[in-house]
Amino acid sequence: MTVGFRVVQEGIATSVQDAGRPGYSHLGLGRSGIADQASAGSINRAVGNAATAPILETAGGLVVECLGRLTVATSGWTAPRVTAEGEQIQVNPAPGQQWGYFAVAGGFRGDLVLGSLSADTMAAIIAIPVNRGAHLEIGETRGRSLPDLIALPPRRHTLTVIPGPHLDRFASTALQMLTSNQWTVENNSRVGVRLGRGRIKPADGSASAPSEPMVEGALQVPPNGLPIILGRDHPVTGGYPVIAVVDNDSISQALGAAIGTSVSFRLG
Amino acid sequence: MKVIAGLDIAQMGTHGLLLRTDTYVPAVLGAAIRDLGIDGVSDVVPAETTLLVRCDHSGAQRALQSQLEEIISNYEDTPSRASREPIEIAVIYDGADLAFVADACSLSEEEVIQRHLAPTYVAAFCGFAPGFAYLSGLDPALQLPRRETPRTKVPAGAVAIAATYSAVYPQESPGGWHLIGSTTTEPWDVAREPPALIEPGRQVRFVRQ
Repeated sequence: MTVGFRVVQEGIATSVQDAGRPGYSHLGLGRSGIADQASAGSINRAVGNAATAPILETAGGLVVECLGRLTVATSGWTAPRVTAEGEQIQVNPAPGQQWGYFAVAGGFRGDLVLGSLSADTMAAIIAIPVNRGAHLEIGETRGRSLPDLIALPPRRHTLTVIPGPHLDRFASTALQMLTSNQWTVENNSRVGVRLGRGRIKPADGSASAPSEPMVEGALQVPPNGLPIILGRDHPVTGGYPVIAVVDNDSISQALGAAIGTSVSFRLG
Repeated sequence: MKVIAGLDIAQMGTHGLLLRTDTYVPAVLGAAIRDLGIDGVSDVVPAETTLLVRCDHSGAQRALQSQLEEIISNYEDTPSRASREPIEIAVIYDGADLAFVADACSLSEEEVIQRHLAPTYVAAFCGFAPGFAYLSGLDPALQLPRRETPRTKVPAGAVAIAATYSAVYPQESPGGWHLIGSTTTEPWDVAREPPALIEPGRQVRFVRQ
């Protein structure tokens, strides 16, 4: 066992995340996993890890103390570094990003819960607690590739969407409204991204439809007309109509968009 | 996409196919798709009248679509597999809403208990919380809307009814269902594989303790 870090400040909405838990949604447990996989992947790869190796994810304010010489990388850096013992590192999202990431060569280590180390806010699963004073262990470092520069994906503000399964529950102009408006990210959590500055009118009575299975990236429209992009910790079923679904190539950009930034949509 | 009677197929993002049906039971259809073990089909999620099939690549979507017709032609409403004996859940009928339910249904408390014990339920789908199974088959005489004011705290193991369903709360959580009893059976345990005691499509019987 190698103790790698001590948590000095836990920050906001900080958790360990990895590829998540596919295969349990039918039992009511969602997939969870890294919110912004594009950003986390580039930081993980920079220290020689696989893209979805266990990584720290935070909305900001995380401070860790390094308990040895370790190869690490975090959002905002251009290259990984080897730390000195006792060095403190602050982890914050890069400008315009909701989530900051902190990776260590070998990844973080703990006992898997149903095949994953991802914390799941909906299911109250915390495989590795990241509260103040906690010690974080490092995983195996063998067989890794060599550290590399951090190649952050370019920030795109236009997200590609696929028309959703409930178009018949909206006015015929709704999709046009979605793609012509400039939206603002009002809130962003692991459960979902709430948009504002614009509204889409769902059909009357659409709120009473039976719940249906959901996916991350689904644009649900509640009766107030303000769309929500479902995040990695979304409930496995939902009752609001889905006007469109963010496609796989845009999902990291959608879930990683900082509060206050603007996003728009185009049909793929 | 091929047209299959009784089934409407919609794309749900890059990876998902959403199957809508009033003809087939989504949980039963989902179990049949799961049993095929198609490479790349990573989640099969039933709800009340829909079924989501999550395909990790387009090959999995094609494989699923080419086999759907056969699944439908072999469809059996009640899967008759030996491993599918009903799960028995022992209940003490001590719920805080038992008297309310009896009153609202114009029955005695004992009649409520007997009507809750009588059917063999089927888990239609899971949701709300991990391991929370919506059990269909509730006696129509016991069907009530949810509580007007949900409780902020329902204890783990609470046996409850609402609308056309019965359920067991797996963890302490908020909840709007009517509590009629309790069980020491644990519906959810992450140290178990599968972690949920009741999977969609599984039959359940309540027995009095």
